[in-house]
Parts: sequence; C-alpha cells; structure tokens
Amino acid sequence: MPIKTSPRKRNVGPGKAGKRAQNKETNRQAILKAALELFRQKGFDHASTREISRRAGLAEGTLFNYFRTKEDLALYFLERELVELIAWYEHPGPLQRAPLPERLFAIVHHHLEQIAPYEDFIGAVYLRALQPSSKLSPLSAERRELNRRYLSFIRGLLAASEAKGELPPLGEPGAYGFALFHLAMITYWLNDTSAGKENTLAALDRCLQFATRLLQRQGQWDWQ
Amino acid sequence: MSFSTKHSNSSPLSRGSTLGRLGIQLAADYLGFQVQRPFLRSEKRELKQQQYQRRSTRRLCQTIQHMKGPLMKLGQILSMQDNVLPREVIEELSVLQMQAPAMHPTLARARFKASLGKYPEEIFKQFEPEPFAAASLGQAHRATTFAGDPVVVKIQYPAMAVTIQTDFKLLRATLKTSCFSSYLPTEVIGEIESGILKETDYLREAANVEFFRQQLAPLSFVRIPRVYREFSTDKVITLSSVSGMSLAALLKTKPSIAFRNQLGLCLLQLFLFQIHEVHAFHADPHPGNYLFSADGSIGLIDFGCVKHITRDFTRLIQAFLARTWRQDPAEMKHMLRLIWGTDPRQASPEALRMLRTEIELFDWVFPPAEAGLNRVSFDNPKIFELGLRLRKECLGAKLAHKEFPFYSRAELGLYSYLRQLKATLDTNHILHSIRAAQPNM
Ligand SMILES: Nc1ncnc2c1ncn2[C@@H]1O[C@H](COP(=O)(O)OP(=O)(O)OP(=O)(O)O)[C@@H](O)[C@H]1O
Repeated sequence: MPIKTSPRKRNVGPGKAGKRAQNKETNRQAILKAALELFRQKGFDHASTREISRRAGLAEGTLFNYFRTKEDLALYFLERELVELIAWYEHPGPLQRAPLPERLFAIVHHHLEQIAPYEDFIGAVYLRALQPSSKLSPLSAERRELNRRYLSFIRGLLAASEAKGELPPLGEPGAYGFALFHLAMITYWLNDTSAGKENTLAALDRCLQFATRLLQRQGQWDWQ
Repeated sequence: MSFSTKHSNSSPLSRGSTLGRLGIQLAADYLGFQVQRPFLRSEKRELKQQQYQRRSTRRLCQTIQHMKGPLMKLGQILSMQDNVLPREVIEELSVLQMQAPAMHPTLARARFKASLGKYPEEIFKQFEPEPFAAASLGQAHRATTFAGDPVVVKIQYPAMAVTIQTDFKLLRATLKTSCFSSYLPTEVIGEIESGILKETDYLREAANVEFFRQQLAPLSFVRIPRVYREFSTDKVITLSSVSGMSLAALLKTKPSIAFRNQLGLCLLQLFLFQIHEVHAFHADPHPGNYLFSADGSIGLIDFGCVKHITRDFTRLIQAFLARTWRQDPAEMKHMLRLIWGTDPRQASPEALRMLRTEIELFDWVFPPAEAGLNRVSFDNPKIFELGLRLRKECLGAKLAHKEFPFYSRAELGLYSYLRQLKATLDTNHILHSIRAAQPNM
C-alpha cells in the first residue's frame, strides 16, 4: 500500500541542511512503510523493530535514531494521517460549499478510509492509548502537539459556521466535543462487523444530523 | 366499552396467512384500515370516545414520527389514504408528510462504495451526486454508463434492516398501551416487519424486474427497465432509465379521446395479461410507477411489490369470469369453497357482502351479453366506488387467498387510471382477445 506524501511541514531550503532533512524524511517514510506492512502481516504487538529495520533496508541502530519505540512509529503515523486529512479537506472542491453535517461527515469518513488498510494496527494503537502511561494516550505530552493541531483545525471550521449563523457560538468546547465524537466513531468503526461497515455510515450520519439540529435549536428539544 | 378483544381474531391476515410477502404499500393499506376500524364503528358513539381514539391515533403518530426509517414513509403513506381513512385520522397523520432520510452526496457516495467496492465515478462515465427522486428505503440518482446508456441508480440508506427492527420494537411497545393493540396483533406486526425487511434486498427486486421484462415482452407497448447486474448489489440497484411522465402530467397536455382510449386499452390489456398469462402481477399501482409517453407506450417501474398467483387463485378467477356458476348451485358451492377455503355455510356476512360487491363490480366492468352494452365508460364514478368498497371489504373479510388484498389493490389502481383517462372501452372484447391467445383456458 503506497503512502501518500504529506505536504512539507517546514520550509526546507536548498543546501546541505536541507538535503539532510530531506534524507531524514525519506528514511522516516521508508521505515513507516515497512512497519505498516509488517503490522498488517503480524500485528502491531508481534512485529519486532529488527524486522522493521531489515525490511526498510536500514541498520537497527539507524532505525533507533528515528523512532525509539514502536509507539513513536505509531505516533508518527497518526500525525501523518492528520496532516493528510487537513490537506485533503482544504483542497478546494464542492465539499467546501456543503452544509456542516456533510463536511464533518466527510472528515471522519475520509479519515476512516485512510486508516482502513491498517485496521488491526489502529485497533492495537487504541488499546495502548487507553493506558495513561503510554505515549499514545490522548493526554500524553507527546500527543499534545498533535492534539493542538487537530483541535485548531476543527475549531477553525466550526468558527466559520458560527460566523455564518449555521451554529450558535460554541467556542473551544465545540472542538473538544467533536474530537470526542471522532474518537468514539473510530472505536465504533473498529468494532463494526456489518457488511461494508454500513452501521458506521448510518451512525455517523444520524449523530451529526441530530447534533447539528440540536445545536441549532440551542439545545431546545422536545424529548417527550 | 373496551376495544381490546372484539376483533382480535377477525383479522384476515392474523390467521396463518402470510403477510411476509406484503410490500410496504400494502402493509400501509392494511395498517391504515386497522387504524380506521375503531372509527368505522364509532359513528354513534359519544364524543368522549372519539377523543380517546384520537388521542391514541396521535400517540401512534408520534411514535411513527420518531422513527427514522421506512416507518416514517409508512406514516406518509397512511396519511395519503384519503379514500379510505376518516378525516380525523388524516388530520392526525398529516403531520407525518415528510421525507424518508435523505443522503447527502458524500454519504451516498460512501454508501455506494461500501456496497460495490468502488466509487460511482469509477464505474460510471457520469454520476449525478444529488438524487432526483426519493425511494422508500433510499434514493435514486441519474448516471450514464461508460457505454453511454442513461441509467438510474437506486441507493439504499445504510443499516436499513437494523433500523426497521428497532422501529418495529418501538411500534410494538407503543401499540401495547394503545387502543390499537387488538387491531394490530403482534403476529401481524411481525409479518409486516418481515415483509418490509425483505424489501431491503434489492437483488430480489432485480430478479422481479428481469422476470417481468421477459414475461411482458409480447406486449410491445410496455417498457420495463433492464437490470445492470454488474452495477447492482443487495443495497444498490442500477436500472436502465425509463422515460415518460405521470398520468397527471400527461392529462395536462390535453390528449385526444382516441389517445386516452388507446392508453386505457393498453392498461387493461396489461392488467389482464399479467393475471391470465404471466400469473404474477405488479401490485403497486402508485402514480409514480407508470410512466406514460406521447407515443402511447407505458413504462413500468418499481418491482419491489410483485405478487405471484397460485393455481387455485387462477382457477378461481377463471371460474368467476365464466359466470355459469351463478346459475348452478353445485358450481356455486365450489366457487365459494375456492374463495374461502371452507364450508361456504360458514362464510361470514362480511365475506358474503364482499362477494356481492365483487359480482356487481364485475358486471359493471364486463357487462353480461343481455345488457346489450359493448362499451364501458370508466368515467362513471360507480366503478371506482365499487372498487373502493371492495377494497375495504376485502381488507376486513376472512379469505383463503392471500392474493386477494393484492389483487383488489392492483384492480383498484387500474380503475383509478381508467377513470382519470375517462376511457371508454370494449372490455369484453379485450378480455376475450387475451383469453383466446391462451390455449388452456
Ligand atoms: N428505471 C427507472 N427509470 C426512471 N426512473 C426511475 C427508475 N427507477 C426508479 N425511478 C425513479 O425513482 C423513484 C423511486 O424508485 P422506486 O419507486 O423503484 O423506489 P421504491 O424504493 O420502490 O420507492 P417507493 O416505494 O416510494 O416507490 C421512482 O418514483 C422514479 O421516479
């Protein structure tokens, strides 16, 4: 499975330093590619760093320079997925003009599609992430930067809807709320055994439609 | 006065007969009838009673309203039964006039991929992201194949089966506490549920379309879509696009008398041909399912509700057409046994009333020789009225043949079309031409 190259994070100029940074990025991607292939074959827990380095064509020590643990590799994967997701969303197209529930649906759905080939790996990552001591835990220091980027992306999107009157002012909690929902949907998706994971599609759509309507009514709902 | 026990076993569908093959539309007819039943007998009751009924109806409506899936559609259908339901119920049900859940382009596309494994743009030269029509369980999109054929792609909303099951649980719980429980026994609800669940399999519909396309080929004026099997699954069905307009739209173009009679002739032929030749019929005469063209051809779509006729039922209809049974007591007995499957002396007054209505209607549509009539005007409201009465009686009577409610529904649909066309037809001649073509009749 080819990994799409993500847009550069830093502006890398020409010259020696630039070249080195480029090499580093190439190596990182080669390692990730090898690791993901192995995770797919053997599962996250059973693939060793030695096998990963062999498959990537690097010495185990070199691998260590890039990723100290498999968790670091997983973290890198999550980061790349996020960067890709944001870039995909911001690409101009008809989606930009769609109503909010559809755009939010598209974000979660695209994310799920991207990680679908690595479902087992993601499952293992989620199990690890439940341990507070893990770097993969959503509250870990290592994930802070990732979280910040994600939250500001969502916050920007919701703020635009708030400005248009599509939503009441939600502020920061709106983005946190969506982040939780996004996580919950991934968990649901991981456990979804329906054909084509159709239950996930239905749940995703219905929750978003309902939540948007509820928010538009400022929480006023005739619950009966 | 309690409503709880009186009619609990007089339902024609609660005793062993299979509602399982009911289409959504028929289920709605049936539910609609049951909902109106208390009203039918309440004319002389005090206002208080009616208010109670009304409250119950409202509660039932609210339940249906809270459902997301096809039951919402069911509510919509119920609310359109203005011929059958009393005004009070229609008022309550009118709140349900809403759309089945729509899919935005992103969801429709995702759903398509989840079922077919590829995105629409990978399979079609062109695919319209916005639907052009709603369907009971999903929506219909226009597309063009790479070969250049215009097609219609019907995509089902995800997880419909689970939704239906959940909705029915909710419906059962509500019914338990309302006055409708006796009219809608649990086993009936169960059969309606399984009938609707079957409609979630579009491959079944695909098989029906193919069957009718082949069987109706001798009728050159009928257009039936072709199934694109390679682009169809149990949740997505791709059909060749059938052109044409609804009857209402056609009538706006002020067609000539000759043209209207021509269409009427075709519709009657189509109906009789299905009953006598194909032994199966399209049981959903919903106005959107017949597409009329200026060239006089008729497009037939939506094969979700198709009824196959048993040999017994065919024999019954043939005997009915022969008329001789009316003079011959032995044949009459045989006839009644065919209708009710039991000793005719045990036939309920309701059932006998139904038979009388059927005879009267039959004589209007196919006048006996001694009447000296060779053209029947369907503009006459009597025919439609009798059809409607028969439909009601049929839903209320205990019958041996499960085909009856379907048959009377299709028949009523036909008369409704012929009436709108103000067609004048030599019905006996049409009937004989169809029967003459069939050696074993
Ligand atoms: N082959 C076709 N050609 C043209 N239009 C079609 C075709 N098939 C379906 N449609 C359109 O899509 C609509 C819904 O399709 P269809 O009636 O088959 O769905 P359904 O699930 O049975 O819904 P319903 O019970 O509401 O009729 C139709 O009313 C018609 O407008």
